[in-house]
Amino acid sequence: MPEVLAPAFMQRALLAALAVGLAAPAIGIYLVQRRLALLGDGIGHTALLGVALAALLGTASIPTAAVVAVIGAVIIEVVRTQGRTSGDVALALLFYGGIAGGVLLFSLAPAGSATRLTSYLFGQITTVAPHELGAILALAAVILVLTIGLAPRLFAVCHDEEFARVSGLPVTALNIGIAALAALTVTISMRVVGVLMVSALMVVPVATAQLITRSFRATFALAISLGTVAALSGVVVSYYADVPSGPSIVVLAIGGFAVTATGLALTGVVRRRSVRNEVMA
Amino acid sequence: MTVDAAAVRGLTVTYGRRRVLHAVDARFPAGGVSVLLGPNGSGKSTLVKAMLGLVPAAAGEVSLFGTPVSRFRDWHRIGYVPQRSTATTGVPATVAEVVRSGLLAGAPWWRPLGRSGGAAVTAALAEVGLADRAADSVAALSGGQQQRVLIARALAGRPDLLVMDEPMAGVDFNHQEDFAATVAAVAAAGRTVVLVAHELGALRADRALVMCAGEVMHDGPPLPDHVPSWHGHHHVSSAPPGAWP
Repeated sequence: MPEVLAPAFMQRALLAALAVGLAAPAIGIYLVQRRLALLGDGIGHTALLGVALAALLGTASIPTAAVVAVIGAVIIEVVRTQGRTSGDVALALLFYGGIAGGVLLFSLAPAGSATRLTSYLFGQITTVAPHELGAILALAAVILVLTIGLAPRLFAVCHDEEFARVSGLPVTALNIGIAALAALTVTISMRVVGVLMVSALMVVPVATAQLITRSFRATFALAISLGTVAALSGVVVSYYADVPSGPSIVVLAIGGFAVTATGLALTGVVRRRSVRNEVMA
Repeated sequence: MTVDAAAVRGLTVTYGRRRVLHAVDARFPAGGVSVLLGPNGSGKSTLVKAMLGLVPAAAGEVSLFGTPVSRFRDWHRIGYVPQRSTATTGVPATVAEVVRSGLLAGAPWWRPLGRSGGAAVTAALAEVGLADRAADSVAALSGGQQQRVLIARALAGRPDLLVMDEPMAGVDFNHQEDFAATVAAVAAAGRTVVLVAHELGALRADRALVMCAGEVMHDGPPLPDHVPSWHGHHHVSSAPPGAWP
């Protein structure tokens, strides 16, 4: 067995990374499709409030964060759709309220919590507790089953909301469902990616995939593959280099985007040049 | 007695404090092509949106196939082409994937759309002349072709009533005749067509409703002045500037 797989905490971190690498782009693709790429970021901020609440009350952090993040996500969704004039300002209030409230509650929590704050913000591979792994894997399975099983409907709603309404789809319920699934993704991701970084894992693999795909289905499949590769390799890098896992994962994901975009640009130049040479000849 | 495909009675719609429709009465009996004409802001788009329940009525009644729109559930009978300039979003999708969304009305959520769905998509694309583009990314299509993709999506479920909001907005000049032929074929298949347009152009409509400032000013056969004077010469590139957006 490779050395990296020997410690029990690494086995847990890699399993969690696998779950998160699959689930985050699976829900992220719908956020990107409706051009709400930063919604995951806002939900991450409210999840932090939940984590801090758990630290203060001494309750389990993932369930508490899940409840608070889902409530936050539903509020964001309602504000987004009902808000008439300053929807983005209302969202900003919620984002900053979440992170400020979270940091404040953390400072009030028992000693030692402050160091844990950074692990929630940026991810730390040693923090995936044995009793949490089951919840992380189960929630990831729920997210995958729903994002794949409801794909035609979620696609329709994110593609064209008016059309979806006239098709008789429960548009409001589906919108709230997407926001709630994004919130659950944030909470299962916070151990390995961190609440400030999770949005990147929802968005960047999708952005990379769509550089080379033509169909939604192919984009979905490639994005969850890229997300999984980035999450697993980021955790391994974090183990050897002793750096937080969230930034490692995100830097690798963005590196993948940069390499793909550069490669496409170069092959485009080569193709154009060869076409020009043919024309000249 | 035949039931109207769509009907509004005393329909008033307000956006905030602004009244957009004033006590509008309109019936759309089954069959035929009706065109809603009028200047920008005259309320023609609002009328079709209210008819489909997308915009709430401040007063009055709206019904689809004899059922009040709030209780209407047979959405598979309705095909809708919303007013939008493209068929793209933030993520790539093929033409067939977009058209497939048109099969969701009335489909049980637990059952996959399957092979019959694929045949319906192919048939709808053939109706708008895009059968060979099914596997292409919608982003690779021209504005007019994307508009036809949205029409195919509305036709995929074989609706009884087809409602189109400015479907010709992105359609280039040369395809106006194609579009008119598509509409004529849809109507010939026994469907009711209601569409919003700036001008009649090449369309062969049975009836024109001309709206102005939230009221119906004319309801009857299209009048000669709804047809641009250069009609009949529209293959010549002498169209008045701005006539075809």
